[in-house]
Amino acid sequence: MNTHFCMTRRRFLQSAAASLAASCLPSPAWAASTVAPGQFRRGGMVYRPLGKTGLNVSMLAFGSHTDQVYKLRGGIRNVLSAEGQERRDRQISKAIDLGVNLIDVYEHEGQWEPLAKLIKSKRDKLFISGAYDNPEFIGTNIDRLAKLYGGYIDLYRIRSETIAFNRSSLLEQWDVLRRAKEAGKIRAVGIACHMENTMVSALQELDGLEFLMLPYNFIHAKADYSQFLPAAIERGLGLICIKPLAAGSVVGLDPRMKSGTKSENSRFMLFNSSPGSRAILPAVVAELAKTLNQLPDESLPQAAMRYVFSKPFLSCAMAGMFDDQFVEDNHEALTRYDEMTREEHAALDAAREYTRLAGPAWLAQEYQWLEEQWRA
Amino acid sequence: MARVNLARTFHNLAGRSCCFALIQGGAAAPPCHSGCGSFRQRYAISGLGLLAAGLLFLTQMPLPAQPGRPQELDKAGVCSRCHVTVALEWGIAKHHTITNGTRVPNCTGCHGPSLGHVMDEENGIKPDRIPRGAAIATLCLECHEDGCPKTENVKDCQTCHHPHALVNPTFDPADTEARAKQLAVQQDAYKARLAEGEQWAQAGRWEAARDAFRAALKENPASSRAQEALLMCERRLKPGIPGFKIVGDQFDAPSGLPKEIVMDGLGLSLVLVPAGSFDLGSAQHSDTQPVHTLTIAPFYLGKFEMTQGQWKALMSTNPSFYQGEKFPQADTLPVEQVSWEDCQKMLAEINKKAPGGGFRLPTEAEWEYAARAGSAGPLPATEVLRYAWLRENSEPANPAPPVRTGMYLIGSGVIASPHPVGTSEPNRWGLYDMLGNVSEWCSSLFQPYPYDAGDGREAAAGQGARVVRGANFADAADAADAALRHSDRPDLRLRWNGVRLAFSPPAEGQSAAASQK
Repeated sequence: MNTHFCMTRRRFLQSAAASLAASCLPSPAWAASTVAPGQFRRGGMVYRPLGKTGLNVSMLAFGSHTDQVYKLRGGIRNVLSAEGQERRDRQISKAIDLGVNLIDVYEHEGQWEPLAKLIKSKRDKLFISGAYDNPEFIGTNIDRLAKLYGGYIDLYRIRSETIAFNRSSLLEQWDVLRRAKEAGKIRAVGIACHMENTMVSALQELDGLEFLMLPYNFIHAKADYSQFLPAAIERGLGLICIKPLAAGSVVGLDPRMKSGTKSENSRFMLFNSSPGSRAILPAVVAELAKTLNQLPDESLPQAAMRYVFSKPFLSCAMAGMFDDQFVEDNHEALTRYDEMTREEHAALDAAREYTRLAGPAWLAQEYQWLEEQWRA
Repeated sequence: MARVNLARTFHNLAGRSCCFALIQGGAAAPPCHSGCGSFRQRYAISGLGLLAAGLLFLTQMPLPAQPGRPQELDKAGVCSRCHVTVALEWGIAKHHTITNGTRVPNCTGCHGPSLGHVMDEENGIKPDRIPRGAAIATLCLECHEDGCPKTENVKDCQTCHHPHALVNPTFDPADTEARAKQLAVQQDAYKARLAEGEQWAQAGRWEAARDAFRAALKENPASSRAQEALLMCERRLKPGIPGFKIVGDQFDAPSGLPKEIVMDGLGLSLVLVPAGSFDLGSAQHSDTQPVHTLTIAPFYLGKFEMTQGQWKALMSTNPSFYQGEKFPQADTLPVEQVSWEDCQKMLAEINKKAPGGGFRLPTEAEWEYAARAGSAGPLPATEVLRYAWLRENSEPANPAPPVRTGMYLIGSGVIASPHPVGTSEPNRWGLYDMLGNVSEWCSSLFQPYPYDAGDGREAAAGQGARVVRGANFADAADAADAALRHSDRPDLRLRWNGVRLAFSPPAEGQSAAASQK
C-alpha cells in the first residue's frame, strides 16, 4: 500500500471544486462542513472535542479488539500469546507516537493490565476508555479499572442491544455509572449500541449521557441516522464512531491489499479469498476494480476512513488495528484531511454496491445480523 | 476582533487605575491570573460589561493623588485587582482599619482564602464561601456580638446595610440626641431583662424566665434573640409535641425542644438536629462547589431510615426489592425501590396521622448538615465502615465466581444487600445509617450551588431531577462522603434509593392549637 501522499495540481483543483460545490448545496447545518467546531491539529494528528466533556480526543482512536490469530483459548478471558502481546504493545506505542490519545480497553480481551503497564508513564496524556463487560457488579468493575489507571478512568460505557433503555437493570447500571462519575472515578459516561431506536431511547432515558459509540461507515451510515443524529448533535453529545471499516470487512474488499494485511477475521476477505464471488458478480467487481484504479495513492480502507473523518459530527473513529501497517494507513488517511474527491466517492459507491449485491456474507458471521439494521 | 479590542481598551484603562498595585511598583503582588495577555483574551467576552464598569469607576471615583492610593486597595490585596469597586466600597466603612484579634473583617475573612478562585483564569472556580441570607449576620456577629448597635437586630443585617460598604443608607446622621438617649435607656433595660431571663433559664425557672424575656421583647420588639429565648421558655413549659412521645429527658438548650421524640403508633423515632452554621459542599468534587456557609434552623430527622414495616403500615404495600423468604427481617430493612413521587404520597398519608402535619423530606442542605454532625470532611474509608453499610461490608465473603457465556459477559451482578436499620454505629448526633445502607431522597431539585432555598429548588411542583444523598450498600467506602450530591428522576425506583423522614417542629402557637384539637 502506498504510504505517501502528494497534493497534485489536479487533486487540489478537484478538492477546491468540491468545496465550492458543497458550499453551494443546501444541507443540514451539522453536515455543511468537514471541520468540527473546536477541531485543531497538532503535528500529524487532528483532535476534536468529545461533546461537552471538555476532552479533546484524537480523531483516530485505538480499538479494543485483539488479533484472533494470537489469542490463547481457555479461561474466562482471552489472553494474547507473548508474540501477540508484543505486537499489540508495539502497535499501541506507534499509535501514541502518531498522536493517538484515546485507547479503548476490554477486560474480556485480557488487556486491562498490559495496557496499564504500557502507558503508565504517559497516563496523564492519554484518555482510556473502558466498558462494562463482566458479570461482576458494575461498581466493582469500575473501581477495579480505575485503580489500575491511576484512580480514574476517562471514559466508561455500558452496552445495550435491547430496544429501549428503560429496563430497570440498565437504569441501575446507569445510576452506578453516574455515581462513580460524581465521586471522580470516571470523567465521562456513555453507552455503546448498534441500533438507532436504542440510541433514541438512550437520549430520552439516560440523564447525564455524555457520549455514545455508534457503528458508522460508508456502507452502514443508516441514512445518516436521521432520527438520532440531529437530536444527539443538538444535545452536544460526543459521538465516537465504531466499526469504521465494518469490523475490518472493508479490508477484504480491496484487491490490492498487501499480503499479510488482514481484516479482523480473514475468512471474510471475499475479494482475496473467495475468487468465486468475482464470477458471481463480474460486472460489479470490474467496476470496483476500475474505480480503485483511479486511486493510485490510496487504498479502499483509507478512503473508507476518510469518509468517516470527513463527518464533523463524529469526534473520532475507533478502529481495531492488528498490524503496524494499519496504524500507519489509518493515520495517513488523517494527513489527507480535506474534502473527499470524486474518485474516492466513486470507489466507495462501487464497494457499497458490491456488498449490497453480495449479501450479508461479506461481513463476519457475528455481524451479519446487523446488515439489515445498518444498511443505508 | 472588536471584542478583543474592547477588552484591551478596558484593560489599558484599568491598568492606570485598577492595577496600579502593579504599575506603581509596590511590594510584589500575589499571583492573580497568569498574564495580562491571557486576561485580555479570555475575558474578551465580557469586554463591554467590564468597559462600562471601568469607565463608571474612572468617572465616579476620584483617582488618588500620586504617589498615594486608597489604603483599602492595599488591604484588599490581590482581590482588588479584579474587584476594584468592591474594595473601594469596603473602604467606605473603614473596616479595613480594624482588626479584632484573629478576626479581620477583610475579603478572606468572609469569603475564605479562595486560592482556587484567585488562580483560575477561566473564572470557573468561585470563592470558597459566598455567605448569603442568615450567614451574613453570622459573620457580623463575630464582632458585633450584641447585634446591630442601633436596633439590636441579630439577623438580616443586609436588609439595612450594604454587604460591602456596610453603611446603612437610610441612617440619618442628624439623628437627634434625644432619640439616641431614649434608645440607650431602652437598650439598657432590654439588656437587663435579657440577662435576668437567661439567669432564670439557667436555673430552670421557666415561668420567671419567660416573663423576663417578654419584658425584654417589649423593650426591643425586633430582637430575635429575645424572641427565640421566649419560644424556648414556652416550649420548656409545654414540652410535648402533639402526636409524639418524648424520649428521655434531654432538651436542646437554645431551642427548648426535646432531643428525641417518637411518633405514637408508627414507632417512628426522630432526633433533633440542633440549629447551627456549617460549610455546605466540598472542593473535592465538581458538583459540590463553591463551598459556602449556611445556617440551619433546628429540625427533627428520622433516627433511622424508614423501614419496610413502617411503609407497609402507612401505605399497605411494600415496593421493596429485598423482601420475601430470603429476607425474614424485611420489616426492619430500609424501604427501597421507592421514587420521589412515591415519597410524596407517603408524606401525604403520614401527615394525616400527625396532628398539625409537619413531616417532609429533608432539604439537601439539612441532610448534609445532619450527616456531617459537626465534622468538616469525610471519614477515612476504613473508619466509615463502622458507621455505614457499604459494598465492602455488605457483600458475601465468597461470592460465586463469574462464568463466561459467549463473546460478552454481561450481568447486573448486584450481590450486596441492605441491612436492618440501626445495626451500625450512629453518628455524633445519634443518627444511624446516614452514609450507607440505602441512599435517601431529599426534597430539593438538583441545581447548582450555591444553595438557596428561596430560588425555587425546594418547590414541590418544580420539574427536574431530585437530589438523592448518601452512599448505599452497593457503593464503595470512598463514596461515603457527606458532601457528594446525586440526583435521579422523581419517578425512578432503584433498589438502593430509600427515604428518611424530616419533621418541622411546630411553633408554640401551632403546637397549642394542635393540642386543643
